[in-house]
Amino acid sequence: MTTDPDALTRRRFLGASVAASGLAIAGLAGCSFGPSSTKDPSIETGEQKPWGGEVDEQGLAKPDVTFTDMNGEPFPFVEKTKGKLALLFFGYTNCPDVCPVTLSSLNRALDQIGNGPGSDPMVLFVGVDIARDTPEQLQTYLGRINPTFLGLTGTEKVIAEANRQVFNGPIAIEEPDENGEYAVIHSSKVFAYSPTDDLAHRYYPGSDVRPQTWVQDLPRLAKGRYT
Amino acid sequence: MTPSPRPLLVALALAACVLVGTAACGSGDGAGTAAAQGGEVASGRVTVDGATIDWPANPRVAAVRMVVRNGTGTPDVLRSVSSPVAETVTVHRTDTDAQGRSVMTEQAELAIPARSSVTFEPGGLHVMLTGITRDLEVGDDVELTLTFEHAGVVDATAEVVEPGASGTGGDGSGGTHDH
Ligand SMILES: [Cu+2]
Repeated sequence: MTTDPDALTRRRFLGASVAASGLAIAGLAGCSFGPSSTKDPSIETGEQKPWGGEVDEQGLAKPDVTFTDMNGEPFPFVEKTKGKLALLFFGYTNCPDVCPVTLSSLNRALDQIGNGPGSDPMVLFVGVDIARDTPEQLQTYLGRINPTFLGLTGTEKVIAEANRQVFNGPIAIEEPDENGEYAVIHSSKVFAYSPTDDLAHRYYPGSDVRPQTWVQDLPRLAKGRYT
Repeated sequence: MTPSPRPLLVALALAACVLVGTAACGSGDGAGTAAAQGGEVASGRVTVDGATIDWPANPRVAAVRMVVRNGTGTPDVLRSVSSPVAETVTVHRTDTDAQGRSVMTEQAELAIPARSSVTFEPGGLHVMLTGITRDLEVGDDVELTLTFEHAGVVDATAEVVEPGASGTGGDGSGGTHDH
């Protein structure tokens, strides 16, 4: 994979040309994104525990792009995840807070679920910081949390396009400090794609999700439910 | 997490939130909540409790969670943190912006109100260690030096814990030790 040296320039948006239009679209989408947060405020009544995240009745389509997997092989997202419970989110391996919290929360939940429905979702982490998130780096990084998690990367164009298609705000690479360290601003939403219709009817703000939320929701999501 | 406060304490906590504004009270994400709690009222010291670090997936980057308690009657300010294991140590808060993106903002002067505590927890406040110079293992102790405007230098130890185990707030073994 070739690394675009421009990716290191200061405070710029990944795939700037597409990102600009993505912003406008994301704005519109924010208004029409389903009847929005029908978070169930009811305390658990029998089997029905409240859902985490936000619901989107209409459902959001998968990004129709071909990523690169951790072996450097093409990963046509729609095809590879068809009919599976797939959890997709965007992050970067130098992310100190939200990304590892989200991944380890999922890992702890899977430990608790053990086996049965919801125990083997495809967890797909897109490394958006292409200069540092190489396939090898993704492999090492995810391997330290859960070796079944899949790392995806791609060209700047592919990642920006995928990010745009899920209506995430544009990815912005911050200015490096004196040690060359830099942060990347990215959406922390986790999209849960249904195995039944391949649409995301639920998404979860990454920083908010505790293992217990996944323990409750993954088995239901695995059955194609979202409400 | 801390036990549910009684109504009076809730009121005090809300007052503390108003006082410190956005610096210590997350916008509904539960991050960095300042709450008056019985424990620190009488201590007369600024202490660090339950400092933990998730074993990092990226060995060069990690985040410290802890509770900073101001048991004095004087509002204090956390000015800096350092650690021998990291090239750079920064106090950050993660927020979600209008576009749903995670943004970290440096907290160069973090207010620690009198007789209150500030919680560093996942998705909120964290002490970010970058350029970590040695491999951390679960169970390792990491030395931290916090410098406050009034309390001066407070040393603390953060324990490296299993990924996802940090941020339980005050229940860990890490914390302040005598200088
Ligand atoms: Cu940070």
